[in-house]
Amino acid sequence: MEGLINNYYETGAIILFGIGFAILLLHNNLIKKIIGMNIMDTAIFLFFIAKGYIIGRDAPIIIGAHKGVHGYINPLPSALMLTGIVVAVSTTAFALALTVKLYDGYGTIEVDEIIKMRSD
Amino acid sequence: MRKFLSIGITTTLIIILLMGVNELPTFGEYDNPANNEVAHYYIEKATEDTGAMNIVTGIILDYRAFDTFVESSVLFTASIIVLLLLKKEKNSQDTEIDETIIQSTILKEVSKVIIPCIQIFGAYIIFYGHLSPGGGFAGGTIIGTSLILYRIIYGKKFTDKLLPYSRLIRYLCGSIMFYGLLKGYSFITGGNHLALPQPSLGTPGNILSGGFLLPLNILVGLIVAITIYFFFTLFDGGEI
Amino acid sequence: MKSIESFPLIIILILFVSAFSMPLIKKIKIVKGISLVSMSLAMILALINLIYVIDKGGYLYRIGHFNAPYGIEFRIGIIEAMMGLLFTFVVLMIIWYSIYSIDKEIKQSKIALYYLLINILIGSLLGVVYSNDLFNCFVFIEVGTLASCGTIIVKDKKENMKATMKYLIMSCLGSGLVLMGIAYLYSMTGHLNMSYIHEELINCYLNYPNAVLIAIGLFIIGLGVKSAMFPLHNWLPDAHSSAPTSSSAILSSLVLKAFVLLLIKILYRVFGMEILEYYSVLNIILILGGLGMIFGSVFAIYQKNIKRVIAYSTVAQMGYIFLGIGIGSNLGVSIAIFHIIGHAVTKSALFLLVGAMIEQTGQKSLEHLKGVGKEMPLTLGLFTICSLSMIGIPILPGFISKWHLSLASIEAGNTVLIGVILLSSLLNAVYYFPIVINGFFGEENLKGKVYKSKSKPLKELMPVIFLVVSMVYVGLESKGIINLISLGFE
Repeated sequence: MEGLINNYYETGAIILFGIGFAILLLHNNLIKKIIGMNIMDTAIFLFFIAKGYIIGRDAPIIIGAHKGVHGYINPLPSALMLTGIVVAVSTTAFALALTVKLYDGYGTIEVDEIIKMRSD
Repeated sequence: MRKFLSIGITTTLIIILLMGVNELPTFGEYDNPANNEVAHYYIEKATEDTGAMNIVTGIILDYRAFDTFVESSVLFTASIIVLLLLKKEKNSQDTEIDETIIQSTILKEVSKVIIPCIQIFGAYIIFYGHLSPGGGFAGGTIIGTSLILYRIIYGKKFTDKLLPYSRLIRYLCGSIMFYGLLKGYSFITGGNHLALPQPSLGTPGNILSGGFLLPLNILVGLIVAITIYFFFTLFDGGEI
Repeated sequence: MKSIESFPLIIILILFVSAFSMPLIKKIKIVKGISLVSMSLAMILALINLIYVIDKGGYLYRIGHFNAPYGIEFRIGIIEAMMGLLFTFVVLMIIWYSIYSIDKEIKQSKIALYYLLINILIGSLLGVVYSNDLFNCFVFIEVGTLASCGTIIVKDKKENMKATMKYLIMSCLGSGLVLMGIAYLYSMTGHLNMSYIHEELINCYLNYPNAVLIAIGLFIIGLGVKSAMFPLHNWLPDAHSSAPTSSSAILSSLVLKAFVLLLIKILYRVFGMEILEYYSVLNIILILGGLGMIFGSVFAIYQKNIKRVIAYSTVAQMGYIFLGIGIGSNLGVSIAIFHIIGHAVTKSALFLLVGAMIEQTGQKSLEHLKGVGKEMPLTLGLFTICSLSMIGIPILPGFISKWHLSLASIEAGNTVLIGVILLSSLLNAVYYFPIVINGFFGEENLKGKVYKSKSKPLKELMPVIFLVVSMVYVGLESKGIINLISLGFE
């Protein structure tokens, strides 16, 4: 158990992932499902970025003199998650545009009512 | 019934994942496996190899530049798909229904001062991307936001004359094609170990340093700004 | 000639850059021309690359000026080069077919953007196949998901929107799980390059017993959602049956295969046989593949819409591939890759033929398509040849896969699988034969139909004829192809 308490960032990220997943499954409204998807993606970013931190060191930007290898945190996870955030934004934009078109077509954004209106 | 099933699946998933987290290396220790010689190489050699003072910009635009190219095409594809879905054809016989033109003079006068300041700030973040936190993505978002504010305050007809769809799509496609060609040149000369001329690295600390970094930041900023502007106009009625 | 080594990167760049130029062009003929020219150029480069790799062996190619692990690299072996040639060839035939048929299915203003999405989709699939870096593969997966959802949504009907929404949400879940798997692997080893992760993992997997198992599970579920593994295949029939003809052909024959190939690469190159046997996860894939084979066919029997029948048949065929992966021996994985090649050409030809039938007769359900053999004899004849391959008649590639899968399962000591394979072949016959028989024979079916009244002109069916000829060629040359694939392992 002490592994969980020491890695409190990762534990928090996984609980957030679970909350987002539950929102995706439990709610009927499409906008709430998209919000759940966003929360899940954000939780994964938190999990990844927490890997890079080293206690007591600075952000990886060289100001003035170079402090040597032991002066900065690991820059790689932050660089990777820049890409991840852009990808999440694109997917959310696409999903929201689909919601607008679904509302035009069916008149509702509750998923169970859309499933009932099958072959129109 | 369905609610219990969903909550059951979620709790099982969380417990399984937490059992894995229990064994991972401790948070924040300096001798984690993640802080290996790859991270040390990046910190030591980033300024020599790429000319950037911001190590993260050096990584995303030089060491792992292929990732950034594909990510820009993700953004481009998303904007094309939203265009496909939501763009309405211009009906010339449609009168200007529900165009809420804001009549307030205060907004118009204040925006004449504030919007150029926002754009200068965004341009500063793009140009200094390799020397301080920021880069093309953050700066592009700021400039895109300033265009959205302009459109909200001045209304559709006025902004469409200034930023018509044909000009914007030409800039978007042109900049991402130029980005692909520029980066393709760099990749092919690198992969074949050719020694063709590259932009010089300059002295670290100047703006005009870093080889490819400055042009790429500008192109990425342009792409992101136009994409964000497209997202807003397409969601807000669909006419550009 | 060392410059041939850069051809995979040049293929991906040509596809992406030509796609970026398409929104600017107003005339549709020029857009179709650019699409054809770029794809044929890509196919020629892939062919030259394959000949080079068979001659000189596989190689590593670095992207940019820095070697791995500081930069990204491509790893081109025989299998990757063959997949490159397969993808570009099949898509070239599909684009050729779609030049004539796409005007009737979507609006004029959207055709340029449709060809853009096809180019980006194929570029991203080739990137997944070639790349040797986990995070690079993840970003390519994201582009592929967005572009494939885009090719379904071009047709503006309501059921397309619903099918795409389900596909998008399940795909995003899958991508999220894959990213979490990458995060676990990175925190244990500190590398993102597949070969380097493997070296680190062999040394230290005993320190993290649970975490490695969870990482394997996350990858299997995440990529299984995207490639229609049995219980997670719900999105597939809706998405593939409501899309335009050429989109369903590309989706069914190529998109699923690239993700399965990534799963094979991750299981066998990142983790390796030692870790897989320690945890015995391959048995789960075996069971799910077997269930998929049987239940896919069972569901297909009850469908009334012909496109949904073929979509469920895709689920069943993906079960064969998962069975091959799950067996775990070298022969099993070689047969899985051979089945990828055979199924790609067969399923794309099937979807294009069904699309021709629907377009010319205007009917979608099996009831109304009886007797179509008299009206479109060439089309239904080609359909018969392809369905014979699906059922498992000798010489055609379907039979070769089933035969070798049975041999591999005997070699692994698991004879129950032979019964499963035979059962699924029988089930395949139950729903393919009625279509053919009702099309050609039966007095009350043929009453009132005029001979060759609705046939498509020969020049529009040429691409399908090429696909069927290549399918027969793959069946005849199967020995040589399987030997080549086995060479590509080490």
